[in-house]
Amino acid sequence: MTVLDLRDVTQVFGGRGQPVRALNNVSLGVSEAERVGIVGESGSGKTTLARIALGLTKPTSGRVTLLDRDVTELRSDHQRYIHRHVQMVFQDPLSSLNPRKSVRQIIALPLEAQRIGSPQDRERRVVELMDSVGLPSRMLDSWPSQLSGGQRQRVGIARALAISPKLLFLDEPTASLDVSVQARILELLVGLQAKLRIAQVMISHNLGVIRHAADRVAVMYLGQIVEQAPTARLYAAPAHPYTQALFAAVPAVGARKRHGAALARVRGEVASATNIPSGCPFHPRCPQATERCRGEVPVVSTVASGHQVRCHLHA
Amino acid sequence: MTDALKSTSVLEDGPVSERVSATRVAIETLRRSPLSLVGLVIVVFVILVAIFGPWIAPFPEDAGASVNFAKRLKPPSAEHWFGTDVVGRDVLSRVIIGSQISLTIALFVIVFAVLIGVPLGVIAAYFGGGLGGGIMRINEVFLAIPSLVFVLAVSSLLGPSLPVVIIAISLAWWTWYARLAYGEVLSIKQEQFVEAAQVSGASKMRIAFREILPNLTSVLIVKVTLDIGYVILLGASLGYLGLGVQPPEPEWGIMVAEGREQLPDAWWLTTFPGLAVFVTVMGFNLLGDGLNDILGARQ
Repeated sequence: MTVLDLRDVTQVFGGRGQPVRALNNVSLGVSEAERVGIVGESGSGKTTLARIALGLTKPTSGRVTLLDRDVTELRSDHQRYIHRHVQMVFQDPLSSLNPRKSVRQIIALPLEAQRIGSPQDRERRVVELMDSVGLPSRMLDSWPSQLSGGQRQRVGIARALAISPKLLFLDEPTASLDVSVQARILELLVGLQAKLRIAQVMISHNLGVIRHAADRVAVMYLGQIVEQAPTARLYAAPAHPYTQALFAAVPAVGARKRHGAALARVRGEVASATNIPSGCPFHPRCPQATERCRGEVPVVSTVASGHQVRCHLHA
Repeated sequence: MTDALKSTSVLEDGPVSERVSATRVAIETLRRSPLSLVGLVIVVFVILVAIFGPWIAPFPEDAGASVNFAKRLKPPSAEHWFGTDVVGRDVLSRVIIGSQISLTIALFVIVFAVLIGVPLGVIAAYFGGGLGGGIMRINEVFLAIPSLVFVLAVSSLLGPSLPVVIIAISLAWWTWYARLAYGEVLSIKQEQFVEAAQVSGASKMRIAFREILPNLTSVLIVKVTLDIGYVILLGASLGYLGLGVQPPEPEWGIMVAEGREQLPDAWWLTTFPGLAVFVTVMGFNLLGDGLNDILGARQ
């Protein structure tokens, strides 16, 4: 069963003057208990995608279906439905926790706001959540400022899990943490997913994190999904030149030569979303670009089972 | 709980930052800034004097319209520390009981200003749009009129009395709280916890008043403390001009005005009520500055 289905979603900000095309015809499905990873540079549209799925922004065009219900229009009943089933773990665990609320109040907020259970039920649920994210219950009355970065993110995870969502968005959940803590938070997320089987979408620019936390990966570039494949397949045989460049740019021990070669492969900077290049948006930086790439927008083609690429080289 | 989850126990995330209690920070700051401690002592002293005024005052009956021409215009002495006025009333007793009037005005004005101004500012900033724009335009109209002029106008229109003074100053004062709340909320609503509350399914009203508003408490406490001094000053100015509380009430501004005709010979008539205003206003200011340091440092 499909939990979330985005169909041809386009998002343009700022109508007159310089419109920003944050998302361009993006289609993405998330199945039950599936873990989808979204990778891409800053400005590739990852966050906009999450905001649309969370009911915070209405797409300019396209369809958003959550659990067989069309929620594209930002109506309050749709938003209630979305908030009842989709939750989010934020990137910055400090800024995403209200400094004037105790850990108990923060975790209970979704339950209280959506009037789920009696006060006693909520209290029981909060204690249970503290345990499942590995926080001691003596921290229930602590303030966010008294917690470490890892503990704060655990509180953020507990809050997102409070209403037992069907879909969980994770926006760079480990990016602002120390490397040693990152590993433990990631371990916690993997463990929780194995136990609770919640469908999740993890946004990250860290390919190492995505490899552990996703069954399927979508690679975004300038508001488009340029490649989508099962994780193992994508890491073994990336088809799009942009994906190949992303992998080549990961510094690896003992791979100095390969690394040097990779840097030579992608030229220039990401183009601005206000002025997306004609044809394939990646062509100005692509080492394999041809005349066709400059003029013609590539369509999605399937290169293997579940492996789709938006590139003329594979058409 | 599975073993995989157990291994990610929180203890490995490093020690919990040591709990620094608010009281310890407060004591430490007060120790390092003796002026705010002076402010605190003055404020506590003034409040105690106001509460127990009728019992402390040596001649409590002199607070009203009593007359004793035999003791007229006596300079400070052991019996009358602050001297006596033109009708022989004890100035010390009048200054002591007068503190009740000043603090009553300040208390009611601040309560009204906060209750009107803060919700309007929060709504204007969080909801924005036509409603928010409208609230802030009205606010700017009030801000454009100097508060003393505005209060004078209201007071001469409705006739001077204690309730009118309170209403008049409140009408001028809410604008500052609306502006303060507006600015604060504009910046706080960018924080990620507001978006997190939206995702949690909290209503706009709940986010505005139960998630964002608690984050305004520190700035409001500081502002209220500083403002009590200013409101006392404004109340005394009105009394002095004859447009505030009316004689024979022992209001400090009125006492200064009445004593003005006896200067420079009977200097004590103006000096002591004037000093009372000065010390009280300064006390609240020093305390407000200290609180600003204490509450600011905690964020």
